[in-house]
Amino acid sequence: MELLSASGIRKYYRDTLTLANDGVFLSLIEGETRAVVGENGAGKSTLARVLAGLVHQDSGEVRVRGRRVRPGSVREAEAAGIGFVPQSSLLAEGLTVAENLALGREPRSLGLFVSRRKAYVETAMLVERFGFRLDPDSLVSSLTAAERRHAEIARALARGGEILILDEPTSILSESESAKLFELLSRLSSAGKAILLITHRLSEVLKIADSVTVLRDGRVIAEVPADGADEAELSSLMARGATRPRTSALSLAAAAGMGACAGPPALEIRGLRLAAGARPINLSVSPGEVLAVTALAGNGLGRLEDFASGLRTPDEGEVLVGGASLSSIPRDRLRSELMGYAPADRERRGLCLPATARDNLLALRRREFRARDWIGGRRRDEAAREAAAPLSLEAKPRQVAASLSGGNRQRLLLARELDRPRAVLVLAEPLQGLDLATQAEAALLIRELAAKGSAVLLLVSSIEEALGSADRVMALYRGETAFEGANEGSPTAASLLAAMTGAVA
Amino acid sequence: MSMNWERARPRIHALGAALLLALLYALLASSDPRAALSAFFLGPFASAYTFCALLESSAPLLACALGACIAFRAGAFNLGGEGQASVGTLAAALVASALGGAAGLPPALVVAASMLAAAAAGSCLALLSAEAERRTGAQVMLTSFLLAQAAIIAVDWAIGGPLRDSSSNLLAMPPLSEGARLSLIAPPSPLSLAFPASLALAACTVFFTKATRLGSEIRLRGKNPEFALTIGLSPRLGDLAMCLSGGLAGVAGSFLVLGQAGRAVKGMTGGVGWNGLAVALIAGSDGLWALPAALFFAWLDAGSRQSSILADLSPDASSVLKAVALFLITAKIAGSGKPRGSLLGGTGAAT
Amino acid sequence: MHRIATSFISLSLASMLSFAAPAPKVCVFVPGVVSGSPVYEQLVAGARRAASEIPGATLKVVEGGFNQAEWLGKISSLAATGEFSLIVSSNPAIPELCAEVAGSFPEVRFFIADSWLPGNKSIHTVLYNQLEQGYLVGFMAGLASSGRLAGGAASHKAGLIVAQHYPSFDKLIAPGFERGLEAADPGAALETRVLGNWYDATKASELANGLFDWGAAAILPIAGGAGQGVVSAATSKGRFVLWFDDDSGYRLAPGTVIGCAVLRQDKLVYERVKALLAQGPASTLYGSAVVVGVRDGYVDFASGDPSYLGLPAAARAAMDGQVARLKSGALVLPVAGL
Repeated sequence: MELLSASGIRKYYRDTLTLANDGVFLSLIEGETRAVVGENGAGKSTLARVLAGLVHQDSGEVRVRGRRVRPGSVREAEAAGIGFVPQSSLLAEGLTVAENLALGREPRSLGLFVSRRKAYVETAMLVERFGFRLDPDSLVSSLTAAERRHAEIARALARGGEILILDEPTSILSESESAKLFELLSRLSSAGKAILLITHRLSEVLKIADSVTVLRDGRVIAEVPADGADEAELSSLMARGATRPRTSALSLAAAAGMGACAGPPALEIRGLRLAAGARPINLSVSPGEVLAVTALAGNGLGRLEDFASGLRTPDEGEVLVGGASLSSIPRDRLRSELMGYAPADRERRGLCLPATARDNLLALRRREFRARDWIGGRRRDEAAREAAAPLSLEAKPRQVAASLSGGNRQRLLLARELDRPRAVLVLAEPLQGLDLATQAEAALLIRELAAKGSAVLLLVSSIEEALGSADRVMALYRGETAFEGANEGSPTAASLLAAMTGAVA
Repeated sequence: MSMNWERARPRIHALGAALLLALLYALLASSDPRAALSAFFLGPFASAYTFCALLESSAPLLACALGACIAFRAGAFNLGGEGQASVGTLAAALVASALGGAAGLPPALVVAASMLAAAAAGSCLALLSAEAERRTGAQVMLTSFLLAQAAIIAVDWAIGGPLRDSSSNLLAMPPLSEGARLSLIAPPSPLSLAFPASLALAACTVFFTKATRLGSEIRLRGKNPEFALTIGLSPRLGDLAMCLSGGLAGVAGSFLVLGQAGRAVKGMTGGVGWNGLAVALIAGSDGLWALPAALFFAWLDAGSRQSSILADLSPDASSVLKAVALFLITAKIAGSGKPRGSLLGGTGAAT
Repeated sequence: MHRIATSFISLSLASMLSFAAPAPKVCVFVPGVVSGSPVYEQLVAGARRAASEIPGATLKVVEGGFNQAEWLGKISSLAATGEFSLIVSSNPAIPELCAEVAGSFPEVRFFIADSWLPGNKSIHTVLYNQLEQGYLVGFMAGLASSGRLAGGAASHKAGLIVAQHYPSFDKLIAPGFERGLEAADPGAALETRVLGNWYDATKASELANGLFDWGAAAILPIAGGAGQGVVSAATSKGRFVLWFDDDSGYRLAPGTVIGCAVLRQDKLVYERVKALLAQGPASTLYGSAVVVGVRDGYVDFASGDPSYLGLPAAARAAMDGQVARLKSGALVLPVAGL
């Protein structure tokens, strides 16, 4: 039976002058898992938000079980059984999982008092039934990214969700966490829930989806069953033009950089303790070299990022750039001249969302401008356009960064940090949120910068990305070095994963 | 600048609503509504004197509002304008009376030194809060308020106690010599050089925030402090904003002392810091809009004063009307669904 | 003959002119609020009565509020309206503000009661002889401290609680009180406490308790609304309180408040405003400052209340004798200004 149907969805954003959806149609039947794929800016997120009632479409309608849902009404969409799991978490940090699930529909005793016990029991039943990895009593602020995803899904179900819409659910998850999420989704699907998966990771799509809708430039380009579709075919459907490199991003990038240089290290970390009681780690990256450090969430990658970027000063051990202690270098000089740094937390740390794309792009080049430029801004617009070009960032200079899609935000961040060969590049999850074509461009750009003499420290949770692009690979487990070696075929994905999970010493 | 019009509209609506309320109030509360209305709305413009008095009273208000704008733009919630203005009055009076007595100093120098001293005093008080936040994490919003309250008590004590003019029945310091005051522009009205000085401050503030690297850095910090640290901006940027903010409030204090009063009187700031905050909120932390907003507040004050003299309205009407205007504007902007920053900093697109 | 004719013409012209002169408009500037302040209530009542007796005169009352920093601006705006020919007020701090305003608006005249500023052509001030006013209650305090009132042993101690130091207190009230105390109870000790504000009755009560514990038989509070705290402390300790400016103290706590030294502000304001309006802006009163006291009938001791009449006859006789001596001029406490 058809659960959800959308037809003729059209949405034009006046402030960014983009036609995000142009007559999109879609249908979902009970128990079906449908993937919506497309490049960054193809209109996937807009479609999801229209279905969830978060965006009021200009025309077109959404029906659930044949009944029309009022456009732009989250309440009605929820009442109709549409549960939306957004890309970035909307959970209340200070509350427990159970309380978050009860939020807005608090179970009451005697019809008056909010009952914590009822909330707990309801959540526990949900967790039991679908096999969530969740403790109803734990605080949201203590959850890992993967657990948050689970909690978000549980919340959608708790609100009576029959149709789950997940926007890029795996974008910040490690591989094993993604696999667990998919197991959960297939359990939900066999329980009759319909699932709409917004993603650009084609490998995932083929693993889990029953059918695929391909969007390009706001239109449905193809609807195909997942059986029999292959990755290459889908990616060629998604691609906007034929000019983009179609070869696998990572292998191409690796090929360009083969034969890393030696020399004195540009970035050196000595005796740095990442976790209390853990053995300190040491690492060094020479000019021209790419070192990838990988770890599962919660194993010290985030701390390493804080220390390597100089945002935190270690109590124990030191971080040296060009032989000088990081804390002795003025921050302004470090960032404008010596170190490019793309944080994993793109929204809070990497970008200033309320500011314009231009201000974000030129944030490290502030000293190039005079009073005239700050007033008039034409020269800054020009500079911003030039800076945006290499990663084909589609943003107007004065467009607010918050209005950009996730992929374009990442391009914005990389375009700023990869604009010149700085001595050191600290790049945390640099490819997150990018579509395949842009991943390839970005990886190539990183390689080029290395070839020009930058020492690149890649901090990635994806084994694939680590192996695909680095000269050397290092794995962390519980804040300690679990593996370190040249990337010459010896560490395979399996052996690296074993190191990351503590299976081998 | 269609963007600016978008931002102006809710504010103009709210101001209009406040005036409508004034109209209603006059109709209901006065036995002679016609006289009350004409005194309220036209009274401030009826004579050169009243108009000049309106302009003069806008000067300290504007200076405080500009200070609040800069702090808000930097994401520092400086709620201590009242206290910073208060220490400004004391510093200005002390320096002006010390130098004013010295022979041979040109008046312009005495006045400038007094204003600088007032700015320095306000800055120091504001910097204490910024310093406390960086060292202990105590929020500027809280510490600036508490420090200001303490400073007001200390200043009132000093003016009413050890520094008091014992020959006067007022709780005030001795009157300053003529040369140590801001010159009057249109005697007998109180309009002094404070008003053009406040306009110059507004121009400098707008230039600083919109046309300098430092100004743009302060705005970036205000929009996302973590991002500011990531791109290598100094953590002391907040200190700078607080310093400027407190300094402007201090100058507002010096306007009060060196203007019509010509001396430091206990309780002299009389809410100018709080009203400055309200003006900055109405202006969306934009120095350009702070000028009309400050004039609007000064007009409400002058109007209710005139209507209490010439008709039978309460002189306290203006505080109610100001509160209503502020409430309508904050409610309107907060309720318009714009990003959180728009109340204080406007949307980022206006960069 | 010619001379006589000229003077006749000029006289009749002058009378015509004065007849044609616009009806006087009086503004009463209250430095505070009227309600709850007997002194300002009397100020307004006196001015109102005077204006009602001058044909065509109108009266406007403007409250200046408690923030003295705003008074100068408000008085200036009043003068700047050009509406008012006479601005009436009462408070020692007002003349210096009016002097500043008068420089800019020479056509406006000022009459300020309870203040002292000689020599300004636009301003007439009248100062109460508060040396005498203080003397009256000081004498009463001496009667209490020397044990001449029922229920009180001789402690030879009395107290003063003042909101803050100000010239009329330091130069007149306190010395007057001391002289009265000395006259009734030679060698008695006097202690003064400063409250710091005009409203904190709780703190005033604490200060009073301190003074009573020290041994004070009676206290005079000069502390506005905070005086209530002194009264309640005295009631619970069974001691005495003296009251200043009006006789409302008797009604606060019958039996505890035993004497009120009052000012006849309504009478003074009525008489002066009427005279000033009748004489016009050229009145020779402007420019002068005058001291008025018991002998002139503007300072008095309220002796008709049962609280007072219930005191021992010998004590009352001594007190009434002092009042009579001041009234007759037999006792002179000269004040030469402030």
